Amino acid sequence: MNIPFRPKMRVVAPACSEKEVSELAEAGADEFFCGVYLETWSPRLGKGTSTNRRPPYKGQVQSVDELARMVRRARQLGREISLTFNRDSHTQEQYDVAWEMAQELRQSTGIDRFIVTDPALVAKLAEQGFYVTISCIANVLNSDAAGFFAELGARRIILPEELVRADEICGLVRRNPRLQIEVFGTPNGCMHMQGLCGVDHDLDAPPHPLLQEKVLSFAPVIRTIKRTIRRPLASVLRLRRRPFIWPCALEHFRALPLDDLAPDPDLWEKLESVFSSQFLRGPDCTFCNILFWHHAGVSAVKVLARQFPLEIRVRRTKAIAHLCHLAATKPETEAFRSESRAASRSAFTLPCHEDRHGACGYEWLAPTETPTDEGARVSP
Amino acid sequence: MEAAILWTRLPNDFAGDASCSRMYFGSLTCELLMPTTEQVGAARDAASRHGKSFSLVTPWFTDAGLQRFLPALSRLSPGDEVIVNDWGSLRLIHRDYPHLTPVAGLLVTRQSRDWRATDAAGNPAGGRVPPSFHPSGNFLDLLRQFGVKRLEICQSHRGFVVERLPEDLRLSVYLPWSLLTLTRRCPWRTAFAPGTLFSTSCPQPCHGRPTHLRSRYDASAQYVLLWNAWFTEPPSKEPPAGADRLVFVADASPAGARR
Repeated sequence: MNIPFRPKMRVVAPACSEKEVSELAEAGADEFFCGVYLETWSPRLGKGTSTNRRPPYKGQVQSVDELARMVRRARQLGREISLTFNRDSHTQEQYDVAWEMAQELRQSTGIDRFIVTDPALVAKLAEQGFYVTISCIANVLNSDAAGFFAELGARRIILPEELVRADEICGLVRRNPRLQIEVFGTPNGCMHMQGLCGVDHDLDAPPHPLLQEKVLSFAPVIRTIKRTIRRPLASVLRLRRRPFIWPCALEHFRALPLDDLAPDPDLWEKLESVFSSQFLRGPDCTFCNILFWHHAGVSAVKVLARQFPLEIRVRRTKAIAHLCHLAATKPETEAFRSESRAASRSAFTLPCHEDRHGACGYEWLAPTETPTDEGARVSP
Repeated sequence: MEAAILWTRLPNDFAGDASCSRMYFGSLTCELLMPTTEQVGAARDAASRHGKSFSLVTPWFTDAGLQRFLPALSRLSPGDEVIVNDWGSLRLIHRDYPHLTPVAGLLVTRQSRDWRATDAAGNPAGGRVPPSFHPSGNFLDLLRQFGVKRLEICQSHRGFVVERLPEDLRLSVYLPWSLLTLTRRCPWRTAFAPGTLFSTSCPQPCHGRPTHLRSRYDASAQYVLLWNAWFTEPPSKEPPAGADRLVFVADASPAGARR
């Protein structure tokens, strides 16, 4: 089996301060990305609005000085850092502010790599010599869309989480040899197409991610309690549950029969069983796929997310960095999967996702179609 | 005001509709719902027979989907519109099919769509910036470079601000619902064709089945599941000022769509 040499995929980790840059570099990050919210710009951007898709005080760098320190530290370590300017659309005022900010930040901090969605801003930044990465929010799902942004001057594309089939990723990489391709190592598990979704989660109040992780680790126990105790008790005591569930999640819907269509109980029963299952969740672990991506020629693997506690980000960066090294040196699939499953358990502090049907990215990879690339062949 | 009806499939007894002057045909949200080349040709002929203008509606595409879709373009006539919802297809139409007219669809115009962004009185939530459709001049210039002269949005909820476009650009509005989100992990396929998720063919169990959903926990969360997408229903059916074309979604039920 001849597998062409490919360099190790770069690990891209989210950082919010100079200290985090150091810690994440130690954990194995090769690059960083961050977002910035500066009060001085907010009157022109709009109240509660940043240049990226996070709210002002979640996972944002709050000062130019801190950003400058982060850039300096990253470069001392021989690494690069990108700034997220990935709002999917801008009014004219917001566009002008984004452009002015980019110029000013390049001048004052040296940062010249931006993650962008708006094609007009992509063209402007690329024309002025910035290194432009296309955000997953731009929804690049095919080679022509990648070519569209390449012609505007983009140098790298972050594929959306929905592009999970091995043949789709491999094909897109192969047809765009001049572009670097980045994929998610830790997707967020959302079932919707992120780049096309209109739900504004800034209007929601999710639980703290560390707390959520701790609660999820007790999931089997919680499920047993719910099944055997809580439901009967709730019906007796008429308890009303108000859990936190994303408004776009299907678990909490019931169908209303339409007045002008005959109600169809079979239809609803089937849909309801799907709605209340986990199967429609997107994968939140794609560690086993890292070997396939390496062989496909993917350039970088991204760790989420900026608003998570540093502890979670460090843990996941370490796991992905370990697997990226492994993929570059040890191409046997089963041995790799054994390591990747162990890494998943340590990164997520949960049983391997293969045990949680639907959340496992390896399922979605469709490994029955073996990814190939000019002689590289990896057995499923 | 021009009126169009969006069909994903033409009924066998299609006799045209006197209330509209244009046929929209195709798929808005799912590449696996795209009609075949023959179906596009038949729809184009039907539009022509009934004196309607024709617009082919296209969704997002993977590489495989784009390859399946391209032959259908050969069935279109010069001047026919292609509603593009994917940057890749916009690039292809502009470069390889200059005789066709691209229109920037819902999925590329990026309108604010969360129904909670304004309250019942139309005030922005949390004192934030009013949600709006107000694309920058730079974005519009980029679209013009690709031959776009028309943009499309959904009907907006109360309090959403829709700015007038420059004189050379036109605006279409889709009714009756506002597209909220969509998925590749289609619940219809999972429910009725398990095992086909992420395969390149689909038995299309979603056809003609809009399903109203209401949250068990939040009375304000009322959606319509249609195809692989979720829609919300703005209370007002009055299109924003500046729109000169209304597009009714036939799968929303012909009677309901045109009320």
